[in-house]
Amino acid sequence: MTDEQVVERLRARDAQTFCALIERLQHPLTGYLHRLVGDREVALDLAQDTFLQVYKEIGKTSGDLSLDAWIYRIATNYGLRYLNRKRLKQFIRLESQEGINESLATAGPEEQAETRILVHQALDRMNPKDAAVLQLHFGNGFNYEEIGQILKVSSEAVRKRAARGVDKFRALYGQAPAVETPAAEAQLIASQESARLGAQFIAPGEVVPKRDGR
Amino acid sequence: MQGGSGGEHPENSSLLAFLRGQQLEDSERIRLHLVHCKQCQQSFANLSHESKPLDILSQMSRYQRYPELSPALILRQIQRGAQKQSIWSSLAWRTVNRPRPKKSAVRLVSLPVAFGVGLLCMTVIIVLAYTFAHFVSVPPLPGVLTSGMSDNQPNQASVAQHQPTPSPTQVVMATETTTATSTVTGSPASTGTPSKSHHRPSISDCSAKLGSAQYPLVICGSNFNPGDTVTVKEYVFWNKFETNDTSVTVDANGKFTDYLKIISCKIIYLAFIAEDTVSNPVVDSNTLVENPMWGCSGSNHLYG
Repeated sequence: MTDEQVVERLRARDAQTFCALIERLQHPLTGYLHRLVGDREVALDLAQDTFLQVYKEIGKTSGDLSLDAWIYRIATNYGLRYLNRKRLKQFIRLESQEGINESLATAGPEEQAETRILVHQALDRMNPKDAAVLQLHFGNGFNYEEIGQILKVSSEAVRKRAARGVDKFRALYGQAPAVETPAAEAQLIASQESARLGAQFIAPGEVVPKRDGR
Repeated sequence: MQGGSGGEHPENSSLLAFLRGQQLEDSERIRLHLVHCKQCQQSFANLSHESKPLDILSQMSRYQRYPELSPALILRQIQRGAQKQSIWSSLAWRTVNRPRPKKSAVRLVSLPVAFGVGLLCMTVIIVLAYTFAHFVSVPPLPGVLTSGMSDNQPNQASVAQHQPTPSPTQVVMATETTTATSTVTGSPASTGTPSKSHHRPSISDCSAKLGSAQYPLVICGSNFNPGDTVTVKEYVFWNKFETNDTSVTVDANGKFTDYLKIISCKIIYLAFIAEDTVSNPVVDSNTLVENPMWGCSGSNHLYG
């Protein structure tokens, strides 16, 4: 079934098509939002909101809709709005600054726990839009053109934003405090032990070469 | 920037795109450039290293686990959520989508027209009120001359109603009044029996003609019975309401002149009336009502 046919059926409120869409996108969309906002429960809520918005707004879209890009755009907007509010609350001291969500650190092989934490700490300190580009490209495998559709910018702009994002990421990755929560600290210790035993471990010093060394 | 191979060094963003296998217009040129340019090879290698940690994001998505909700259940929740709208959103929707009539020209001019009509109505009301106040005067009190001293004509109605008490006089007066009126109008039916009662006794102010410093106030009577004694009653107010009577004798022409002194300008003369007490029945003249400061020229100095 082509994208156009799917959109047509979704407009007709076809329950089966909706269920198929949810089944296909539920996991990657929630994962993307989870990595973007850093909070599992929030990501689940935002994914739900995204599907609700899709259900409500699908009738207002045009025929040549790129469905996945449109859905990810809705999800990205929800995620960025959440991050902006969170930062505002932290700025005016309504919300304390929290460390990296544990759920992100624990998802995956144990030996990569520190890398995951560092990556997320660096992404968390970046401009949310740049971080979203990196998440979409590196995390979800969207190419620049698709990301352009999601963010409603040209692929040229995505190319520059991705390069700027990687540049910032490199700087922040080396500077980010490695451990902020006891759970993460325990995992870090565990991963260091694994590294000693020969497992692959990407240390910050190794991965991020200094600019002077170029 | 020129590279060693003669071509321009590609930007970092292009190198990253090339590294990530993205579609580029000049990907072939970049590839050829990288073969020869050591500097760009180094940049490419750095980019590869710098972006490598980010690859972990794709691995993470494989390990992330979320509650397995059936799509049907999610759809049901979505459908329920779509039906539910907050008060504010529904209010906003209603406000935006509320049907509004088109703004016609009539609607645009309605406000100035309404203002004009209101102004016109107010003007009409004011004009009517002004007209009513001017043309509908308050009826004069019974027995009062509204025209002041210049009006020497007897006021029949006032005289008729000025009788202090109902008496046979009233009957006579009414008869005389009717007769006099008939004479004036010249009706043939009423001119059959001319008599002395055709001219009703009356009094008037002669101060202007006959008044002097000693007697500034002069009351003249006419149409009385010659030789009769007439009592001129002065109704005055001097701290209290009083009546002063002076008697005068009517001359052969049926006239009399009563010279009055003004003792004080504080005396307020209210009215004068002459009574022919000799004739039977008693005949009253008209009532003369005047300015309270009669003869004092606005001052309150004492006379006489």
